[in-house]
Amino acid sequence: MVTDVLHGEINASARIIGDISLGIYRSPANALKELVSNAFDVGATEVIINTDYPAFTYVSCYDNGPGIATEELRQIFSHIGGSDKRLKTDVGPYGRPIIGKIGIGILGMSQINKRFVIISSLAGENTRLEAEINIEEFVSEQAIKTNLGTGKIGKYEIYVLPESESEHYTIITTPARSEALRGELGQGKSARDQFVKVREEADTFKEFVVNFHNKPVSTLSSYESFLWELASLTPIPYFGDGPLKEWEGWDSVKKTLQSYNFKLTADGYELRKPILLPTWDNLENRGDDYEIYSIDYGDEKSDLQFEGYLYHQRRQIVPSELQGLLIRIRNVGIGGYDKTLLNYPRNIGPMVRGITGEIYVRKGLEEALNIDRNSFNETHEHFSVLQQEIFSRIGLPDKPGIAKNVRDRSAKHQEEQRVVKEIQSLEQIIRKAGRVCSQELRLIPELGDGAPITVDWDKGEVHANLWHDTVPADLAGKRQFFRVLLCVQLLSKLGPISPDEPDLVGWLRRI
Amino acid sequence: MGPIDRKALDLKRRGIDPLMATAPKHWVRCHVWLKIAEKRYQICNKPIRYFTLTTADLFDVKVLERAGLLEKTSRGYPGLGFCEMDDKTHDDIIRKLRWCDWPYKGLFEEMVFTYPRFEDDFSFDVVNLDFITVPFPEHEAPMEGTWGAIEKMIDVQWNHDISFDLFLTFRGSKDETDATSLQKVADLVKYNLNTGRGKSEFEAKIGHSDIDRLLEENYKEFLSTGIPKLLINRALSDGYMLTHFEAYYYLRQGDGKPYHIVKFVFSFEIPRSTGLVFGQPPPLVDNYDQAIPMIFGKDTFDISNYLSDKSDLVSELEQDLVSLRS
Repeated sequence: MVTDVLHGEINASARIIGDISLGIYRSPANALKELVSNAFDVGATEVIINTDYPAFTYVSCYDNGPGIATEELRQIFSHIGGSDKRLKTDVGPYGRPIIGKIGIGILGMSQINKRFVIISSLAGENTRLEAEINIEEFVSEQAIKTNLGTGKIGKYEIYVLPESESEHYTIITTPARSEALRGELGQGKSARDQFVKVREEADTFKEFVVNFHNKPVSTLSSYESFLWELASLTPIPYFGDGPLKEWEGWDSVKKTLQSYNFKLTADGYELRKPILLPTWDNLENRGDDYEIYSIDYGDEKSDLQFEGYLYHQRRQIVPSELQGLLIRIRNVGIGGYDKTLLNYPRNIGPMVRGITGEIYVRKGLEEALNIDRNSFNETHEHFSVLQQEIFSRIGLPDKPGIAKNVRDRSAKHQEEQRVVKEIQSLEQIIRKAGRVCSQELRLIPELGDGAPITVDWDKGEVHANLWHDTVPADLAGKRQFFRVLLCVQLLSKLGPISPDEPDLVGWLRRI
Repeated sequence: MGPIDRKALDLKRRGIDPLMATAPKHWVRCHVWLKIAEKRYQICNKPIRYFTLTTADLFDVKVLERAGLLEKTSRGYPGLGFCEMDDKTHDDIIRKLRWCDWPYKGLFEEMVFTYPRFEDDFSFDVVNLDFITVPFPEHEAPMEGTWGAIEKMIDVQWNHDISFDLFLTFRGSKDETDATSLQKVADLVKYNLNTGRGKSEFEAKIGHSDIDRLLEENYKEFLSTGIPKLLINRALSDGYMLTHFEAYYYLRQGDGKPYHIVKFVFSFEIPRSTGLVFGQPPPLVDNYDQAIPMIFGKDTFDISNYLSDKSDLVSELEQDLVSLRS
C-alpha cells in the first residue's frame, strides 16, 4: 500500500544546467561509473548493472548499500551541484575514500534516459521509496534558457511503500524502451552479430576480454568498449596478476583494491580491471619486449601525491582504448585513457601507440576536476605539476626520458635483429660448405682478436668472428667475405679441384 | 512512456505474490509443467530454452532447474527468458538469476509488438504464459492485445521452425473481460456445433449444446472449450500439429468475489516430429473434423477437488514452496 506521495522540483546550480544540454558524460560507461562511485562511497559491497543486451531497451544499477532516505533524496534534488555534506569528510563508511557527488551521479542517468526511477530502502526502515524522475520538459535549449535563473531542471514524484526492515538497497533504472542507450550501444546488425558470438563463447569476463583482446580495433563493438571502459574505470580489482607483475607499486594498489571488497557485475559478468600488460599474444602468454617506468611523486607532507607507471611495448597496444594515460583519483578513472599523454608537446610518432600508463593520485588533484568528473581544469596547479612530471618522464629537451630510452631500445633491437640475420646467413654458408666436403660443420660464433674464421676439421667446428676488424659492416659484404674465407679453407682441405666435382665448381663459381 | 500507476502496481504485486505460493498452483508446476518440460528435454536432447512470466520467487524456474532441465553457467541462464513490467520485481528477478538471455522489462504484449529482438530472436522450447489477467481484457480491442500477442508469438515460433510446449494460465473471471471477444469465441464454437462437429461430445460433457448458455452459467468450461478452439485455428493456419493435453482449474479466493484460475497445456509440433515422443494423445494435424470433437469432449481437471482429500500431498507441496523460497 502506498503510504505517502511527495512531489517536487529538481533544482541545480547554473553550471550544471549548462552541462545538461551538452551531456554531462561522454559515454554511458562514464555515466554508470558515477553511479558505481556513489554506491562505493556509501559502503556497498556489490553493484549489479543490467543493460538488456543486446536490445538495450533499459539499464538498471542495483547496489546493496544502506539506501537513501526520502528526505535526503529531496534535499539532493533541491540543489544538485551545490555543497555536499558528505564531502566534508574524505573517508566514508568502511574507511573508503569518498569519490563522487551523489546528485551529479544521479543526474548522469538522465543522459541515458530523460525519465528514470530510483527505488531505495534504508536498513532498519519498514518502507522504501520509489521516485520517478523526469527532466524531459527541461532539456530543450529554450527550456534551459528559461530555467537558468530559476535553477529548475526537472520534477519528481516520490512514492513511499512498505518494505521489509532487513532490506537495504538502491536501484536506479530507466523504463523499458530507452532509445538513448540503444543508440549508444546497439549499433547496427553487425554489432548484434558480434554480441551473439560473444554470448555463445564467453561465460566469464576474462573469456569476454580474451575474445576481443587481439581483434583489430575497428571490429570492437560499442558494447565491448562499454564493458571494457566500465571495468577499467571503477574501483574493482585487476585480473590475477595484472596490470604489471613486475611493477613495485603494484602490491600496495592491489591490496588497497582488494580491501574494499567491492564487486561489480554487469550483464552477469563479474568485472575485473581488464589491464594485462604486455598486450599481445594472449593474456596468459606474455612477451618480454617492453619496459616499465615507475612513478612516485610527493612525500607525506605534499599537497599532491601520486604513484603509478608508464609502460612502453614495441608493438602497438591493443585494444586501442588502452593507449595513453589514465588518471585515477581515489581509485576511480577520470574520463578514460588520454592518448595525448596530458597534451605532451613533442611529436613522438608511432611510439605513442605503444605507451600506456596509470596514475593513482593519493592526495590532491580533486579540485582540478571539472563538474563532469571526467576531465580536468588544465590551468589548475596540481594538474600542471602532474603534467610536468609526466612530460619529464616521457622526455623534455633538457631531460631525456622514455622517448630516448625507447629510441635506444629500438636501435638495440634493430642491431640484435641484424646480428641474428648475419648468423643465419653464415650458418647457411657453412651448411653448404659442409655438404661440399661431406662433413657435418657447426658454427661457433666468437668474440675476440683472432682470425675472422678458423675451421677445426676434426671437431667439425667453424669458429667465426662476425665483428672482426676486417669483416665488412654490411650484411651482403659479410656474407661474401665469409664465403671467400670458407672457400679458401675448403680448398686447403680438399686439395686440387677436379672437373669431375661439379658441386664444388658450381659453388666456387657462384661466389 | 506513460505515467506509471505505482499504487496500482504495488497493490497488484502484493496481491500476486501470496497466490503464487499455494498448493494447487504448485501442484501444476510439479505435476504438469515439469512432466511436459521433461518430455521436451528428451526431444531436444539438451537443456530447454524456457520463457516464463515468472514472479520474484522464481518457483517455476527453480522447479525446472532442480530437475536439470535448464542450462546454468557461472554467468547465469543462457536459455532463459522472462518479462516483467514492474521495475522492482524485474530487478529482483534478474539479480536472483544473475543474468539471462532474455530479461524483458514490460508487458508481454509490448514485448511481442515492440521489442526489437522479438521477431529475430524469440525461440523457446517451452513458453509459460502464466497470466494473472483475463484472456480478453475489456480495455483492449476485441481479440487483439493479449490474444493477438499470443497468436503472433506462435507465428514467430513457427518462423523459427521450432516445436514447443505452451502453458497458458488465465483468470477465469468475466469481470474486466471484453464482451465482444467472448461473443466471437462463442460464435466460433457455435459454428462447429451447428455443423455437427463435436456436438455430441459437447453435449455429453456439458449436458446441452448451447454455448451462450455455457458462457452465462459456467465460464471456466466456456474458456476450457473456447481457448483450445482458438488455438487449433491458429496452429493449423501456421502448419503446426497441436496437442491439447488437458485443461485444469482451481478456485481462487481473490480480494473480491472468488474466481477460477484456468490452465492449459498445449504442444505445438512441427509435422516432421509427429508421434516421435508424445504418442498419446494423437496429434491433431490437418484433421479438423477429428480435432474439434476431441477438444469439445475433453474433461477439465479440478485441482482443488483433487487435492481436497490429499492433505499429505498438500503439506508436501507447501513444504516444497518453503524450501524453494529459501
